[in-house]
Amino acid sequence: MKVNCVKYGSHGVLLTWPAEIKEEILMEVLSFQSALQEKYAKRLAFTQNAYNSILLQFKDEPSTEDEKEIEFFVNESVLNHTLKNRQTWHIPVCYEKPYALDMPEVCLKNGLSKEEVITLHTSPTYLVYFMGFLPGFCYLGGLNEKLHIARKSIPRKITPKGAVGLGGQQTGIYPVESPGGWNIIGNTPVDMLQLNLREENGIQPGDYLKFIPVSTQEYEFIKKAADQRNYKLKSIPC
Amino acid sequence: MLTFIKPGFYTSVQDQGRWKYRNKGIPTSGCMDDLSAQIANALVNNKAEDALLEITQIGPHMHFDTPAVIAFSGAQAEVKINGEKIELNKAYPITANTEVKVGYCQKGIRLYMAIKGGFQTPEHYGSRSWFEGVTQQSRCVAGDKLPYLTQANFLDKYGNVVVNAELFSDEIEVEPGPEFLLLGEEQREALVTQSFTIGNQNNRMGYQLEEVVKHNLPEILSSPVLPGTVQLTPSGKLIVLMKDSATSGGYPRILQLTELGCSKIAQKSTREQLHFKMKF
Repeated sequence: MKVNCVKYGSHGVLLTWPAEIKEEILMEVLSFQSALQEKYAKRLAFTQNAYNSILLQFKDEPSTEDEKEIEFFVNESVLNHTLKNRQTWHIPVCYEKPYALDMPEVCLKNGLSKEEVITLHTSPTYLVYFMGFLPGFCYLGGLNEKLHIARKSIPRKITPKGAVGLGGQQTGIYPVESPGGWNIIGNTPVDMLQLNLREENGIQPGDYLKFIPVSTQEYEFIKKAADQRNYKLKSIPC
Repeated sequence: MLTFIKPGFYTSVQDQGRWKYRNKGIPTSGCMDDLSAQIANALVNNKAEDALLEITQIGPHMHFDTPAVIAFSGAQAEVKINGEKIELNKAYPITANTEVKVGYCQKGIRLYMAIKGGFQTPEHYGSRSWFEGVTQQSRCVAGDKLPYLTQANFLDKYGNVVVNAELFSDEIEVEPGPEFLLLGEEQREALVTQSFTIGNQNNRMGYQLEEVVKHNLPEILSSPVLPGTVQLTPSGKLIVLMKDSATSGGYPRILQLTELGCSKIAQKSTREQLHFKMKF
């Protein structure tokens, strides 16, 4: 795959793979991100990935030679680098009132029963591509086509923390309270931002999420436990 | 402790920002006009990383209960220590139980107040910069208290500097962004010859510009963006991303402001004009 390499700002180098949302591309992006992090460990301020791109932000200004070296490295090396510690996270979601704010609308627009929406949403294992949009927001791939739905014509002024929504071809969790146009079908008692920010064993791009339906009682129970840091989220190594 | 009697329009604690967590979707935050912030910090012999106060448009009224050394740099505003007018870009020692009043910004909109040793507010994820959702608050309200290091001796030497007059010029230095070359000759020309007006939507997240650059570029697959990135929206309007902007975006990134360019635009507000000047 041809990787395009350009200077981005005074301290950045941007690498771009073909513009497709594909697991295969993400895996290559993540492998190179980790290899480049090692290669330039002392010189990098941070790195950031998206579906098909990596931003390498240097502490010093990268030279034209650096750029050429990086371009050569990503285009000519074969990495047999497998991602470490990949996991499937089991995220409890309550799809009931009062959390499923837009469930009736989603059922009506997509011609599904509430049970069908829940089954369609909880069956797949979603791939975490990257975090962005909001602190700790995971861009997920793998939503069933039957749940594709246009964003709300009038966005909510406040979408609650933990809200699980559908927007266009995407599904996701609001890690913090925010205005938002997604259709909300549930809520998770898990603090997604904290889960993202854990120094060790937090959600990483390349991990998977699986939504586990829970009742309102279970939701309350988990929420209480989580608030007191007594809740251990289930995750299974891949 | 510093106590806010009046908070001003939008006053917050900022530093050099939170860079390490961008891969978690956390914006950088930090001083909008970093150049002025660094001058203010240097005036009180601080490190560049020390946390200071970012004052926007209307200044606060503050009470200091212990001795400190402070300095202001950035926008031009009237500052009074116990009723006496002081100069910007100069360090002042203050005694216990001092009141400091900052007026309206007459030129520029962001003024920085550095305090010797930096504000000792809690660090969150490697930075003291305030950002809603990451820190408890995003701006000061009346009654808020900020801790600082009480100064016992005023014998240190403090310098003063001449204001960088360029800070308020309408020329904003830019470099080509990653998608610049996808633009046609005509659009590239328009970007550097046309003048642009800052719209109502301007804040710590971004500045929307009013003029339209006609184009037929498609959106891109969401990709990293930086503070200072100029995005071209489908309608042809430009958005300049600032320190609190999201970490990724799907609009073509056509220009990138230099660090000086970022500081200069951060001093501008609604209706003000600017020109982009390409730096090669």
